[in-house]
Amino acid sequence: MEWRMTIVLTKEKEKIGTHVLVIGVGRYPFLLNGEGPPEKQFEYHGGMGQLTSPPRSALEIAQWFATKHKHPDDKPIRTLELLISGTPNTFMTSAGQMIAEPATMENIRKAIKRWRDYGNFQEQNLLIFYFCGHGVSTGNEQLLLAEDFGSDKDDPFRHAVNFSGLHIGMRDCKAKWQCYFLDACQTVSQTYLDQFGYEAQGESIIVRPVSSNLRNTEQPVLLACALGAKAYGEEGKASFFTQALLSAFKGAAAKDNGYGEWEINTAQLRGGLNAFLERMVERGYGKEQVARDDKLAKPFSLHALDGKPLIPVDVACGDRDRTEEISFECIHSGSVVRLSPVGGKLRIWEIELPPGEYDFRARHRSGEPPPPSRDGVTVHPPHQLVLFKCP
Amino acid sequence: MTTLALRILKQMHGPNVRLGAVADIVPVGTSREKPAPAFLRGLVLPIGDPGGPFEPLTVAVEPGRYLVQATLPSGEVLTEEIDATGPEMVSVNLVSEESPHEWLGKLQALGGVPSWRMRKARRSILGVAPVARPLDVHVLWFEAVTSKARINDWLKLSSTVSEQDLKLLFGSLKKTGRLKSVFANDDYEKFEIADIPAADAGGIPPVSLKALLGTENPSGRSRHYLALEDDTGIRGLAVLPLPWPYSNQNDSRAGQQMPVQIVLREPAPGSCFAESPVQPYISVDDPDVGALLGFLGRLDLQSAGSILVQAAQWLYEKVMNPLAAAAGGYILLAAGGLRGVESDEWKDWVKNLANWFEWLPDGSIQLAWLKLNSISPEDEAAVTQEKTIEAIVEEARELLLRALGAGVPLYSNGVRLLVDALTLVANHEEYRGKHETAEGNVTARALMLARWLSRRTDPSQPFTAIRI
Repeated sequence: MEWRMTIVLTKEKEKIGTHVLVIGVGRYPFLLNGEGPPEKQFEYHGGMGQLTSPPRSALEIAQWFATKHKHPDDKPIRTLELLISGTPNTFMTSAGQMIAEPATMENIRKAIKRWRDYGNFQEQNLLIFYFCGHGVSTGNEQLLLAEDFGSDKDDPFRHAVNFSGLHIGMRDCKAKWQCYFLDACQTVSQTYLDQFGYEAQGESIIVRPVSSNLRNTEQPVLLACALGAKAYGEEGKASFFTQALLSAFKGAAAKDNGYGEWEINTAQLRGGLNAFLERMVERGYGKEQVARDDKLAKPFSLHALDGKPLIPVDVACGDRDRTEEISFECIHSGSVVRLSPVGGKLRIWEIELPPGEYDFRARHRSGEPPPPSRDGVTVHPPHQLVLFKCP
Repeated sequence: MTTLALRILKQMHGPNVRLGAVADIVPVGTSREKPAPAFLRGLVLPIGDPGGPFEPLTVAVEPGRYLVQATLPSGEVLTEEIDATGPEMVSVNLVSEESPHEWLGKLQALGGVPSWRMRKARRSILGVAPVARPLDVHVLWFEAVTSKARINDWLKLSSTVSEQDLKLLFGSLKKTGRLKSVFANDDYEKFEIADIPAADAGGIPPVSLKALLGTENPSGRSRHYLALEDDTGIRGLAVLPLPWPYSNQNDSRAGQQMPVQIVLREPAPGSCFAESPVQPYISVDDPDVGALLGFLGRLDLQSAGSILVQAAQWLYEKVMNPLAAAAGGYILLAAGGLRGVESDEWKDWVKNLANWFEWLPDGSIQLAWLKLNSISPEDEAAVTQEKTIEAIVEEARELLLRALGAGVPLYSNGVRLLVDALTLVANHEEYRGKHETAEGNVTARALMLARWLSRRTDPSQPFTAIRI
């Protein structure tokens, strides 16, 4: 059976829990190379076109929340809503296959209002907002572009969410804990500033009066990249930021709660995200992409790990070009636990390890004297870099 | 008990940072069945040059194995597992990553420039050769007086915003000096004032910029800006935190002016400074406040929260250094006060900062935010609730207009908060049907001007830097 719908999951939504809204926009019919009628193409596209990463990114994040999320203070997922423009857009639920509704402005508006209403059920609720798609940033303001952005040439920004306005409007929501992930380019568009000036502001969606809820709300925002940089992804794969987020949830952003139990909190996330994003730079994916916070906010717990975290560990020669001449081994409690692969142009040996103390040995493939080993390396979140002085 | 002596080693090329990195000390190998000795969280470690003497932070722990993890203002995380089972003192020297140049060491630790490793990785990928290149911008230092009356007139009359209006916020700029380059390595440049009189420069290290003091004017304290100028005119302005006296009363340097560092770096692609050849980064060489400013620039409240007591102290001693007090105010505001302290005394300090230093917009912004966040469920339940809430919103509105009248906030976080607070007020007025009144129109214009400023502000720096 197959449904076209937005709500993926809903369970006792009036009880304390977590409410997740995931939006992925890859198809933009009115932007560059869009499938809309040629005469309706938006002239001021600013180079923005079709994206392949957002649908997959949105699906992977939604899947993670549906199947892996576990809150340390028992805030199970109560609702999960998913909007996707582009493909893939099918989501498997226990009831069968579901096709996500497209992320048009109208659908986004309705979903955000529902999500706010769910949040209003309980003060201790946790709200998660995730957006992946085109974004336009001007200084401190972020605009998130819906699928139908550009369809109205006279007023293009009526199909964009003014995230800064939404964020401030959501301060009136009862849900105390709100976390926002923006996986979008933060590109400053001089084109838009010049062409639309002050009017390029999008729709805040939630406009509320001042209330007592203001003083209770914590609203950290994690942005995919520093202002002005572009969020990157590989064709047809989840974006780097989303991969980084999933890696952070696996362990790169974990913190020991004092009982040998590991939790992910909002403050640790940036370190975990950036550990992965730095890997992307080292792997050769071009420009530096850095996750950053957008608001000063008190940290809070998001997720509890079932076991030990898996921490990204990168092993290499100081001069990365020499790494392919070396084979590495990783030793824990006297036993070899990992061996670097043989052959290939390896610049960095990337592995994941549980926390602990490890010894690393290196051997020249040509039989030359090995560089000194690195013993007693502490592996702990967010990341460990093990460099050898290769002669 | 065993004593741990903790510090961060870093090539500093200048004075050490007393309150530098924030560290946790966590026992290793604990479980529910094997309770952990007490955790030590939020310790503040000094960062200093390995070549020079500097005091570590010493703490006593029960014998055992511990994990020490320190976060620098740059975001770098340093981790070491230590064996503290014996009775002797254990020295824990955590070594920070290398910076692109020795003279950039401190700035890299504080988050102003990326590490040498990341820069090298980026360069090897992009194939960009690190070459020194001549700059085609002039770096100027301005003093300015913002005219509250002119801004108020604008708020009442204007219906659109232009570049000219943005300049209203800076007031009339009076050129004070042209800066000359001190260092120029690859894509980084460091500046000092070229034409500073020798008497004023006495005793200041050659790479520092010192405020010329005594420039008060009848309408309040004048503000200082750095400007980037090319053939087409001024392209960028950055607020200079001047004057900045050292406010640690327990130190012999108390009251001494701290140098302000100006580094020009390659702008991030597409950033608000992308069309300029360089982007200014401003920092202040204060051994106590430097790290907090780095955490504030990164919006890392968890780390900054560890310096809350000191932040409160700066706010309390606002007369000594109101600019540092404002930094403390932002942290306290976000943290909701001091941990474990019920007293709301700090809110009075914010009030005094706002009212005693009206020339500094940041105090008024903080007090407005405090007021907007002060509405309680009891206020809402009261019979007179509408009157009470309207009065609070009106007070906040007046403070925000006063802040705009004082010009550009010193901190980029202030620009962000100014827009958020004005948005709340404008939303409230719209909800109550007041947005079409004369007052509502002024609020809307104030928000328009604040957003205009916000759209040109680099949010990744602690101090406000604006593309023109």
